Amino acid sequence: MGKVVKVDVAVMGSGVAGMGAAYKLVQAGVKDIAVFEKYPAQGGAVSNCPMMFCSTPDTPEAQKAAYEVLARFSNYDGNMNLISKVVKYSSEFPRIFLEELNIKSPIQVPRDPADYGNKRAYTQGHANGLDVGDIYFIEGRGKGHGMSLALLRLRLKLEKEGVQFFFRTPIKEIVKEGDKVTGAVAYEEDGTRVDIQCKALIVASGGISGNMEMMKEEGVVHVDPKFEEVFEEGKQVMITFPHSCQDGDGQKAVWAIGGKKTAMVISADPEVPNPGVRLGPNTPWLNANQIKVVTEMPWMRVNEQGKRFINEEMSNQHTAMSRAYCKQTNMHGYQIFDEDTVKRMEEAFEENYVYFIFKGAKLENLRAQMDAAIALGNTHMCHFDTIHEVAEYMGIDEANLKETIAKYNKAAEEGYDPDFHTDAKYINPIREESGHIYCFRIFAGGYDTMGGLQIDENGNILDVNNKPIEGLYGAGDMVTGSFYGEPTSNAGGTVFGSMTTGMLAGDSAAAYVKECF
Amino acid sequence: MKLQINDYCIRCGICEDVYPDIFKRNYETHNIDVLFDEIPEDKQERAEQAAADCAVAAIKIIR
Repeated sequence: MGKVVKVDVAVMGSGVAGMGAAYKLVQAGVKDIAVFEKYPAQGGAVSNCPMMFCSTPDTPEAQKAAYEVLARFSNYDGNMNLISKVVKYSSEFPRIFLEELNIKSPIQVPRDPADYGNKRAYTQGHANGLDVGDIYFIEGRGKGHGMSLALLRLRLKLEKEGVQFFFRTPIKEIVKEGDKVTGAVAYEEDGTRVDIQCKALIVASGGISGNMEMMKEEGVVHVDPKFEEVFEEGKQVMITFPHSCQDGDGQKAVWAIGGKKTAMVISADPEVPNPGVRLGPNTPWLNANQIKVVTEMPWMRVNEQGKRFINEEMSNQHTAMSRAYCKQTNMHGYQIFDEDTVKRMEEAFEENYVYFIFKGAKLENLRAQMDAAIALGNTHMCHFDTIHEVAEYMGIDEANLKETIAKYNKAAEEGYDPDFHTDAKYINPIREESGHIYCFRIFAGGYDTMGGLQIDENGNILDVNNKPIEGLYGAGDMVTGSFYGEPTSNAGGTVFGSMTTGMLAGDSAAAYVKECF
Repeated sequence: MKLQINDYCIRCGICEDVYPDIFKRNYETHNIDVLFDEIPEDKQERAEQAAADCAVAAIKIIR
């Protein structure tokens, strides 16, 4: 026998987008709200990664400056009104996180609105690191990030307000009667069918990074079979929660009722895959050694063809680097530097560059750290005396690589890089005479995938004819292309796009329920 | 000493990564399994540290 759940609004997914939606529904006075989650706990991908959020202050000057940056970034391809709404919702973050949820923010990086969009930095305000507001670093508990604690507190708060949470109960189908969405079907773990009757449904089930088959089908992952192991359980660089349940249920259910399909991409955080780089399969931010930090230094990047492809100043900007790697053969690149650079890093990591708000760290015996990872079976790094050996071991086109290095060294000498305009202070020549050459193979990674669905300025999901589907709203990673432009390139680190679209969907669904029923 | 994992555990797996001798992620049930019913004396200090390291304070120590 199946079950029936009758509510005003049902939410699919309890990540930061779904929770943002439920938060706004409660604020708007909607009485019956149910959140359906496939995973056994709240939080989604974001629970496990963001240690910060970005908030645009609620002043006309700041709002306009942020709007302009995002509009330009999207190539004016995003929904302009949606952009202003997202920016506006972000101004509520400090109140929600710091006051209502009592999360501590020991470091804050305020930005002058006049500077928005002029600097790309680690403190990414949004995609590609262009600041669009103030950055608040939030304090987590133990070894976790602050957002996991924030979302647990938000869940408990919402439960007190009467919001029902159904864990391990994924929504698989959306029920549409005529032009209107009137419900959904979920399944409990034992297969029991749950018929959900609702006036509005908010789809916020995130990415598809738990579904390798779908990622291949949708062209998100395209690598030579020899590199497929990189994406396997325990080694994969794709998923914050291994086996995360982010299987594309939301996208599939919406497409099945005529929802518009948009491109899907990986975003954020390129990595040298395990073993020996991260501590274990679960925690990309807990490093086993200093290799992760070295790979964020701005030393030369080439692809398999031995050619540079990006201004390496972007090296610590996860989204920009990841997107660039995605566009190279087999979705990866190589970082190469010599012994002189290692010596320089051993004196001090560049102050004011990597993690510029934290103190520069000292690098200790990189070669031994690499050897330890290699001994664990890591095949994505090497160090040799010659460029020839590095190229041969890594499978980089040697002739091109040598030519690229000659050009790169010339740029260092002349203080000018005509190809990528990388600041000369970040160009360290690569010379065999230094004694040794180091190389890391770095794959595009990501906490999640982005894209799949399109929304309008009210958070309404659009059909293939760009017409809003009545009663159906979307939020989070799956819709961020609607304001970042297509293909989407959301920076997951700040919840700037995901929570805001959730809040918008919550407000819009509440208004719809009040007006139309 | 026993360890109990609360249901609001976010399954981030920090405990398995840092203390693999005590915790094991169960990919079938999506739960975190504690490898001992009774925590051996030589692991009790690590178990306490694991509880302190948990992102959401989901590891409860029962004495």
